[in-house]
Amino acid sequence: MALRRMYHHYYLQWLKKRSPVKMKHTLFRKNIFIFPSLSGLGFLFVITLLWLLGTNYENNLIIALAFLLLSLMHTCIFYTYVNLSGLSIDLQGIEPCFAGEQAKVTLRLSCHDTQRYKGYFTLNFQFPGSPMVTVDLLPQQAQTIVLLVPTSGRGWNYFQRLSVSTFYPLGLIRAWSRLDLGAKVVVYPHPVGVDLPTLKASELSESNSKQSDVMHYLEEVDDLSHLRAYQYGDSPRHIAWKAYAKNQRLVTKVYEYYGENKRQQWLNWDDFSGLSIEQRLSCLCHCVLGAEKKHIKYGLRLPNKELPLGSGLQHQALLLRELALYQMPAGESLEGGLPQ
Amino acid sequence: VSLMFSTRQPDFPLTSALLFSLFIVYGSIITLHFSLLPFWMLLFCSGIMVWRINILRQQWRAPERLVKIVVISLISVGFFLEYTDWLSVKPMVTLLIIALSLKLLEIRCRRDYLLIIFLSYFVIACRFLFDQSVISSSLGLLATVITTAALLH
Repeated sequence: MALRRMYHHYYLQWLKKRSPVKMKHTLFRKNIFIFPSLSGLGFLFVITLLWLLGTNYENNLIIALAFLLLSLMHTCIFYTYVNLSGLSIDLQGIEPCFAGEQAKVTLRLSCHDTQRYKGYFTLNFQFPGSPMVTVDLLPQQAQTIVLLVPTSGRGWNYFQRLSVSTFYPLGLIRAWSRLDLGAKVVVYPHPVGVDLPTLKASELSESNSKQSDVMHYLEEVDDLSHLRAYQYGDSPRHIAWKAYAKNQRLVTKVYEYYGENKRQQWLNWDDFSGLSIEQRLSCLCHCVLGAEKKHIKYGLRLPNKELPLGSGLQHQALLLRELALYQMPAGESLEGGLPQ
Repeated sequence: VSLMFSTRQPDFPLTSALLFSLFIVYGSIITLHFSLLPFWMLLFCSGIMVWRINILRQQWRAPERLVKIVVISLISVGFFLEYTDWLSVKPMVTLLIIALSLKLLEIRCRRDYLLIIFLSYFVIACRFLFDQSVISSSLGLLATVITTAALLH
């Protein structure tokens, strides 16, 4: 096992020199590797047996058959190589995700050679640990594919090399390439709803106004204050559809937090005292998502930083990113992930 | 997260088109050996072909253990009555064809599929041990082409 790891390490070092990090790779003879596949080795074994049979019985036809099959395999080498060469792969983007989820990596495949009349067939794409995606590519066309890659923990996650391989046409030869796209992604903390028993009842009673704010929606209570007649411009989300079904009149639900003092909210690091750092981050992450859903203004107070009030998806992404990278040395993730 | 990639070919689905091409391969091999096999082997092989085509039509299933035991004992009886010198070429080729036939009824994965194709190449070559005439060699070449076509998918 240790030997295997050592081999893998030196292999990666060698690969790094041979095919350096790039956002866009074009496959050509320098970064395509080729070798008989398992079934190709089986095929070679059959050829050897045939050759032995032919020589032992001094049978020319059998030897001829052995060489015919060998030439078939020989031709396959070129077909398999051509099925990878000239393929361009570039990284379109990676969607950030929450810890424990799979990151979506979008790749764009195109043909480098515009004169090419032949398509690419049964190309297999795979990141280590992720499921394999098999696609065909028509000539003169580009295609976008999405790969799902498992992530390790919050913070920066660096992806290992992408493997592109093909067994076309007979499955006897495998041509492959391992490309470093320099892919990395910020993984947000895993959002966790707070279970209230961890916060003591005494803390609840003596809570200040800010804390009660947090409590307010940690309990997931939509404080419905009253109903009023529908006015033009009211959001369809707030219409009491049940009431409409009952008496055919549009009624709007008015929530308490629509009051002016509740339209903004500070998410404090200190609100979650008694929890560990990771737990706090998970809770805050949950709160950010909740606040964005309720369309209120929210800000974040961390021990080392304060992020102003705001709303919208961009603001949410900014806050989540801050949570993801909290107390993270630049360019490292919590666990696993290979800094390169 | 594993460090290694799987370098194996992904297990392709054994579509009915692929299985049918295997059926054609088998048919061509039996045609090639037609004049060499004893009559009970021809009966056995046609029985296998009928069974295979019914599996393809999803009428029958792969043979159960009891059926297998009965068929194999019948075949062995025929085998021992027919041949006296068991280790010479002819009985060995017959044995190879019996093995190939029985394997044809049980194809579960890619490996079984490839095994049958590789065995077929060998059985085709065995035909040339008995006869190197123009007709049999061109028939052998035809069977080789058919077998190679089954490798495409």
